[in-house]
Amino acid sequence: MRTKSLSRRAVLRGGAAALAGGGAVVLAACAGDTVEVIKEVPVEVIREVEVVVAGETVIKEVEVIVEVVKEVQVETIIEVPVEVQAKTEDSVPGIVVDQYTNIIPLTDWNPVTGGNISWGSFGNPDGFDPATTANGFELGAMMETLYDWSPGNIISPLLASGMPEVSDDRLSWLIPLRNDVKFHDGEPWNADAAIFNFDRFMDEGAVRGRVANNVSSFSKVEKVDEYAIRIHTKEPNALMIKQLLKPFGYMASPKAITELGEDFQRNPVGTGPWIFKEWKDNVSITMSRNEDYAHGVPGLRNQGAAYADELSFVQLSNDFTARGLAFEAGEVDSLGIHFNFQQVQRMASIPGITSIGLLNPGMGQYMPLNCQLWPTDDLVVRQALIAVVDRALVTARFSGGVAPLTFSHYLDPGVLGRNPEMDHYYSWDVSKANKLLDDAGYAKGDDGFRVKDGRRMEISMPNTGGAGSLNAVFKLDVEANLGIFVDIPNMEFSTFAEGATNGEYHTGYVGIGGSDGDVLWDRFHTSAYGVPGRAWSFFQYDGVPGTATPGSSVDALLDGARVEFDEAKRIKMWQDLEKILLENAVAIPMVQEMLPFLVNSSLMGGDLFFGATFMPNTTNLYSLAGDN
Amino acid sequence: MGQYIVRRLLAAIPVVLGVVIVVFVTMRLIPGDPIALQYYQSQGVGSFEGMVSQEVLDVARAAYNLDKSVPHQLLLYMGDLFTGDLGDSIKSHRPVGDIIKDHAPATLQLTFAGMFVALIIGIGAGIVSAVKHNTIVDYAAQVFAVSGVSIPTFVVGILLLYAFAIQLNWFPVISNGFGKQLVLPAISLGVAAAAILARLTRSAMLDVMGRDYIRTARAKGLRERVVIWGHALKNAMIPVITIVGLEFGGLLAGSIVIEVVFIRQGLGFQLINAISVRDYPLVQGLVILSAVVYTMVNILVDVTYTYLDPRVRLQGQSG
Repeated sequence: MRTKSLSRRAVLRGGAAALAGGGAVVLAACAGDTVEVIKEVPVEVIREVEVVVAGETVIKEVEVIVEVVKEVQVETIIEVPVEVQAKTEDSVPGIVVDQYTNIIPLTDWNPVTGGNISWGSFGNPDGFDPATTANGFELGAMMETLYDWSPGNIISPLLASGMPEVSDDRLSWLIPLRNDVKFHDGEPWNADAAIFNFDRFMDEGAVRGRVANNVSSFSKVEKVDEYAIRIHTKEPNALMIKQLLKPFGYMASPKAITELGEDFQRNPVGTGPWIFKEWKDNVSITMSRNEDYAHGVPGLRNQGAAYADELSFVQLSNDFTARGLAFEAGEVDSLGIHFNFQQVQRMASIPGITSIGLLNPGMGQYMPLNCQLWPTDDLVVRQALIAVVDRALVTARFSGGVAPLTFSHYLDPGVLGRNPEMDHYYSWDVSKANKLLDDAGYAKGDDGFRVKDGRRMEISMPNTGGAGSLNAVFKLDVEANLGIFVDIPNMEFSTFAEGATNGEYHTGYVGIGGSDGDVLWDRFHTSAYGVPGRAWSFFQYDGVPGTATPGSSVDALLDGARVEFDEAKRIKMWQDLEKILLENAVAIPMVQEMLPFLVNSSLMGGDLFFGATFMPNTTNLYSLAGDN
Repeated sequence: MGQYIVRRLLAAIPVVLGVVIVVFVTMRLIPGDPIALQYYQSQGVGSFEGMVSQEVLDVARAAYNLDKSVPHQLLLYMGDLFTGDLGDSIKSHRPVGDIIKDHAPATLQLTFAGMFVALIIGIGAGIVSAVKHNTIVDYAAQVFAVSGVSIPTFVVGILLLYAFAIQLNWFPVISNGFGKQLVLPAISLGVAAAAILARLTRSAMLDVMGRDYIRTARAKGLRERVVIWGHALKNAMIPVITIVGLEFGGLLAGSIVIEVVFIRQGLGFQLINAISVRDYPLVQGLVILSAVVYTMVNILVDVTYTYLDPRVRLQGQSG
């Protein structure tokens, strides 16, 4: 008996099919180069067994086995950016809904040189010293960081010339720097300039801005050569690259800082595409084009100098009606408005105005639940609240019914660390919410409100003005559908912030952006309890960091992820963390954070790209109104 | 008269000092940490991760003496105040004196322009209303007066903006400046005061017009124009002048709202922003300035009053 093998291709090749699955939406595909690759290919092998019976050869039996063989294939590389959140623009007439991380074309690409582009802003900046500012908005047009966001959520070198390399002990990072960049005052950008800036950022005795958080893990920055530095950290920092990205950590001219002293605050000198020209306090900040600029963000059409002659940030009123009127009158080309989607929707119907809803990845907008105050100290009550809130109704006026709703996640789609296991852990289920409270002994009284041990269930949700209608609808929803009284004391944000930091209220309405699970650190690490601007949710906690339950496990995962260099393990830690937080019902997920943005497309054209902050790239925009 | 003015100025000093102490202590009693707010004012919706630690906040707090007790802070502040130093703004790091110098012109222009509108419209309408008593003109003037007092200034402002800036495009929305940028804010600000002055002028004029000396003037055969402008108006203006002084303070306060609506960067705009972020030195500086201006205007009104009404002067001298 002899055997021979014949093979035939099995349809076992995957890849593209997997990419298309899971609800992902393909945004664009672009054909690239062809390459030869050696691949292991599974094949089916048919084994024919020849058997001689009475002088005749016949095939007695057929056997099928699977073998793996190596073969040379010619493949065409196709880059397929996959958007993590389904676009909803089709369902929202007039409003373009898109991610911060994508390019949004305002007009057909037909750049015009000259003129002025203007940006409606509000709130005078606190100065332009990158070491002390808590607001990097306008600064981002004049100064640059070592790295920046490129389209597609990719981090690219900006003032660095390559990605950082970590040492074997993971306690230092080698960062190569560009050798072809000068500050606006003609001084060279080099290792000395970088070290000068980092030393200021790290000066613990000086008043520092939010950059202090970026460098909190740094121990020393040293010069390797003219165009390379090494950053030493106190402990391994797996998220180092994030500390070197805008909106903080901008590099300023050492010579200008030294010579101008305090006056540098109002006369910034950086390397960016715009050169500071004039700051009329509370009125406008004007910048002129940096003709020598040639190292813009990769992936955008224009990496060179800006098209417009001037860029103005016009300081408008804190009152959004006044801001909106100024925009509508054509006195600014573009405007970001917080808290008022009705205005955005109204303006969406005006010809020439582009209304954009920018999805800001992170935790989204949520309502933290105080785990220490009665009755939300009871897990069942928190779970019932998560189940009962009608997100669409509550957020309708606040976010115009445009922002995607969230029910069972504290991390938005696409944010590293979102745990797919928890997709259906919570859902909107009013009956279940009521059953939870019924079973736990919270009985409804004659007035419709629930009572336990003679105490009426009552939670506080202060109104700070910005989301007033949201508070009222939340109150109606929760009181009618769950029987918990909602108190809405009116107060300004400053008062609320202090009370919330001290854990005085049951809930509020907040949001925070970030690219990965580390965004949870500020809000849930027990060492952040009581620190202004940080924790808004309180576990059972005895005041000693690391001893809380389940705070200690949360701390361990948050801290562990920061020092874990294996990305898969790091993501797993954040996923575990999200699961713990959801199981403990520490907040009511509401909607993905969507920030409204308006552009007068008859005044400004080009490509709009934000990256991951609210400060857009301005070199790919141009004036359509000449010297407007 | 000189002695009277000096006495009034000396009496104003404890008033201003009292204001300083009240404002200083009140700002520290209300919730809100000025240092923390610099870092996370926008930590609501639309904020980004990465807040600073308590240690960083403490260093900044010490830089503004906020780590010391309130009495200690007050002593330090008073010491600086007597040398003319109002301190530095926590938000912008600029000397408060410089901020006031930069933004006072916008507010003073607005206040005086508002007062001008109020005087022209208010007194004019009041006189016409009194002279044309119980006619359609009088009724129309009264409707204006009631409407002017009843409608909030910010509503008037938004309506004017919508009509004249958005629809007709005659005036800009962003109203920084002196020329046509001042027109709509001044009208918005002046309308309410004009309404009050119109009612007051009308009733004062009606009162005066019934007096014997007016009848005598008419009996002498003087023309009605001379009777009104030469005899009636001067006497009718005595209570009006008092109200004008008080209204000046009102306009100064009202300019806060108008500056926000018209995006006019004056002291009111500064004050709103400073309060919202608890910028103690700036709030203190602006309130002290307001107290000084208000006190001075009151002294000026009293001096003018004594000039207009000899009886007050005589009482003051005999007293």
